[in-house]
Amino acid sequence: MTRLAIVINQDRCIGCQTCANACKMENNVPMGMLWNRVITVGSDVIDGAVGTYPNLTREYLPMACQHCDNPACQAVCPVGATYTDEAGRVLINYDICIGCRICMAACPYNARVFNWEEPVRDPDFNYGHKDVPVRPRGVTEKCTLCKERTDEDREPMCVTCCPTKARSFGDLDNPSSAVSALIREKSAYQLLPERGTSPKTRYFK
Amino acid sequence: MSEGLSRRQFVKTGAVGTALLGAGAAGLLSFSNWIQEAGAEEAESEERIAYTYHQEHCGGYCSLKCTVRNGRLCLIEPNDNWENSSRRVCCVRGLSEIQNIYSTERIQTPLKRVGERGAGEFVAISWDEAIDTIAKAVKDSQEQYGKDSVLLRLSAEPKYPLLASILGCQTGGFTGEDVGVGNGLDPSIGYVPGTWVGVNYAISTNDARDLVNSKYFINVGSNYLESSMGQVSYFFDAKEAGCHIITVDPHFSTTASKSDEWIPIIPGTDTALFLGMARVIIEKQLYNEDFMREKTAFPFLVNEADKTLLREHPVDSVAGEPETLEQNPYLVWDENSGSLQPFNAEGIKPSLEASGTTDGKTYRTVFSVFKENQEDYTLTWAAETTGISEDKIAYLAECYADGPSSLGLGWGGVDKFANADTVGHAAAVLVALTGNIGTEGAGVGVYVGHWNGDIINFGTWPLPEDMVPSAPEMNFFEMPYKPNNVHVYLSFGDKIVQETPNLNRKIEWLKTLDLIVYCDIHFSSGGVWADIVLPACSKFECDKDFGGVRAGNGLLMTQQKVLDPLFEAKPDFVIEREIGKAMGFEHYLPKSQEDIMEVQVDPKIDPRLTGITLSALKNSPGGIEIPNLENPRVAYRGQQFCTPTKRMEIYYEAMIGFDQQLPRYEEPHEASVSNPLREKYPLQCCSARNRYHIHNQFGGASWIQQFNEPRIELNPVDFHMRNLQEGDVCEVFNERGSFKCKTIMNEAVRPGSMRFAEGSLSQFMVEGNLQNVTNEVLTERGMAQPAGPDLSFNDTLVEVRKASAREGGAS
Ligand code: SF4
Ligand code: SF4
Ligand code: SF4
Repeated sequence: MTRLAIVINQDRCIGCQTCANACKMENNVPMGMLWNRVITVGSDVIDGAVGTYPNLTREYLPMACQHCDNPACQAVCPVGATYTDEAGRVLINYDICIGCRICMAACPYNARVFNWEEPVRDPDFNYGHKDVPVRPRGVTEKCTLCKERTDEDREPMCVTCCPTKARSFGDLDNPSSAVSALIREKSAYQLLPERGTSPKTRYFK
Repeated sequence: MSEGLSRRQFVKTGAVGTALLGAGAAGLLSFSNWIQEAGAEEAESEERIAYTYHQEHCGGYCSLKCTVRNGRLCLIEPNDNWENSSRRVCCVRGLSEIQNIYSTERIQTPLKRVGERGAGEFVAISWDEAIDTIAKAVKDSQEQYGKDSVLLRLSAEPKYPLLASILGCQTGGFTGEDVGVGNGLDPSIGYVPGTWVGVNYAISTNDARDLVNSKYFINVGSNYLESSMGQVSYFFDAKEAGCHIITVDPHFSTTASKSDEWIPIIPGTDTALFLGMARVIIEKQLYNEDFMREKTAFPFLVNEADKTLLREHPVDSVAGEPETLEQNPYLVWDENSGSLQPFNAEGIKPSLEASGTTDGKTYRTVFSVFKENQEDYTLTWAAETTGISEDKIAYLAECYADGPSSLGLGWGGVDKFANADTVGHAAAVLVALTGNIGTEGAGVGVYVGHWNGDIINFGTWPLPEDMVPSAPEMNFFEMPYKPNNVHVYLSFGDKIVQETPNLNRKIEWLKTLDLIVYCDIHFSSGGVWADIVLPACSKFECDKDFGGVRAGNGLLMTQQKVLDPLFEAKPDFVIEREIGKAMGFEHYLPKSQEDIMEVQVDPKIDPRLTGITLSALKNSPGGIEIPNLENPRVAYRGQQFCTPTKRMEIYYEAMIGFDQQLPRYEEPHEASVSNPLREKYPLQCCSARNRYHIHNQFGGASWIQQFNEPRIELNPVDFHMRNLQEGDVCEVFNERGSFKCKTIMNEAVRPGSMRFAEGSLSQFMVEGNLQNVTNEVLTERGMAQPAGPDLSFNDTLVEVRKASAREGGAS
């Protein structure tokens, strides 16, 4: 089996949003949406802080689809539009998606975004990987682990572009992969383990 | 504009002047209205990969791999052809170019002002009309008032290497920016040829790759992790290798949050911190006596009366040529022989603490005088002045002395205060006390950007010998305040606003000028003051196969053509040539960019390029890794300095008249804690640098605006004190002027400061510009310093109040 995953070193993450735009570009994500967002944990403003000056902390949390082994979204999708492929990627078949958004409610990571309107792109043409499907109004979308790149044996765009090399990509089922090693050595954790979704995305500090 | 209007149609309409633009020239046409998808011949074609380099003002020097589909830029990635993975970088700004180059914020055609200056009303004109207007105005002005009646200011990005010489105009003297700390640090260590070290920008002596060898990195006044996006890996590489990183910053910056420790400081008091640390180092005798004796000016002897240094014979002050050190060396007290000896005599042991009388004059060593200097600067004083506890200052001193340690200094923080030179000077003294320089892991200076890496020298296009710029009449920043001969002002890049504190005073001066020309890629804040506006190409566009060559980050890079020029923009090379042609100098100019590249890449000029041919370069995927540049630079190896004495010359005789021969604490000019002006304007105005901008670039990019729009940031304490609500539009004001913008609270901002991103574009604020309030002071001392005075944007006090609903109603 193959279980592709991203492992993120939060100590190296500087919240620079490069991965957010890398993802937007590669995947032709319209304005007003991001598949990958970098959250300043516990703060209402980007680059805010937790605590009271000068006793402050800040933690960045890059968030996209966690490609769960037990995806809550997939379980609730009434038409089977959300599925897990042979590489362990949780994907959406946009032709089948009926836009009911039950999956969005089910996802504990708020990873999915919805095309409420006709997508608006700036620049107003289809950018990104040429094989990325263009999503119409009325469907959900989210991180695909850069299916089109990873099918070509390349890293996801967010991994390639991260300036601090905070992001690693590989196969969790291959014990000698870099991501497997990081999980072992750094005790990389899952977000919201109590939800039982068992994300493949892992974080460590 | 109707849908589908073709490029040619628009130019026709534009040329007869019917397209009246609103403020900021924004919203002229969207990209799809302007440029149709490529015609059938290209639409069928495969994707095409081309390489270019990004703008260089951030110091990142990133080489980018671009995918073009149907004639449109569809993907930007780091160039992945480099062995060295740390060179494969493209940050959030580089990626945002996917939208930014097509933005409606682009200057799309040449423009001519039709309304009042500043009203932002323009009509499109043809390139011919624009160039003719400029050439005629330059000729008329120079005939009537002389060559120097034309002023050319170039920002870092526009490449017009020949223009000032072609026009014979003046270029405005000193930079005024980034030189504050350097004025104090660099004279003590001297210029290292082939680098930027010692040229008064306080460029770090070792480059950022060397931090991995430091035990401690004390980073004072630099938000490295936002200012140096191209090199952020080195910070974490160092940290993971065990370097203990301590950041001193008034705000909880990104760098502060990623450091092992953050120590907040009262803005503008960094000199006091360093003097406090020096006090601890002296009291606890943590200094490196051998280094001080052998490698610094600490043993030199100071005349008690006139503060000059003792030399073999009195300096003849009327002599035309200054005496060399061989003719008249400095003397030291040799402990071995018990006599005065030239500092560089063999076999001596210079005393650090001698005193005595010779020729009826009393002398003491620089070190003794420094210790006395330090009597005013107790640990208690330093703690009170900086707001950092005595324990912390002592701890910092102990860490720093326990090297190898590196001391990071800022661009953008305290170096934008009037007292910045004293910061650099006090840092130099800390280095001289501890010997933290000239070895692995021991560097000092500004670590941001690849300027502190290896600098490759290029050949320059030869022009006739008499074709040179005019001598500067004065520094450009003095022009709004002193009578001068400037009648025509050419601003390539937004030099109108970007380098201008107290903008309102400059505007008064601008109004007196005959012609103002502004040339840029995007319409920036200063554009509204121009009479003629020219559209320049980004680094993604050129008319020929190659747009240029550049070196940096160990790479010799090419700008391949990614796209044809967008809109009516032209490459810098072409604009320079067209102006030169209109001036009648075409025959002196290179015919193509490739002609210049031939001259630039020349192993005779820089032997490190030996073996690299231009054709190999052109055939490469965006460039070549220059051999043998893999090791971090360690300047002053063997602790041999590039000063006349080869020692660290920390005693500045040139500053005796200002009592700054050794660093004396001076309060910030305006933003001092004790300034009575604080009753009216209680907040320090911090012009912050953030990762989303490079000065005025990227402020109009919608992909950047997702994360960052202009906003006034206040600590919640200051926010609530003013009864503000989230999202309120506020006015920031002082006697100089005001601006209005949306306001948010952020706990990371120091109470007592107002933080605002410098370079924010006026057209995205409610009203005005940050520069309306910034401090224009020029110190007399700065005028006497090697790089001239620094502009003290951060040395500013303001107040913030809620703008009335009516005032805040604008978009
Ligand atoms: S690109 Fe890397 S450092 Fe930047 S926000 Fe994303 S994960 Fe963090
Ligand atoms: S893996 Fe691809 S789709 Fe997923 S967050 Fe990264 S860039 Fe976006
Ligand atoms: S802005 Fe600087 S760091 Fe970012 S891509 Fe451009 S050159 Fe590189």
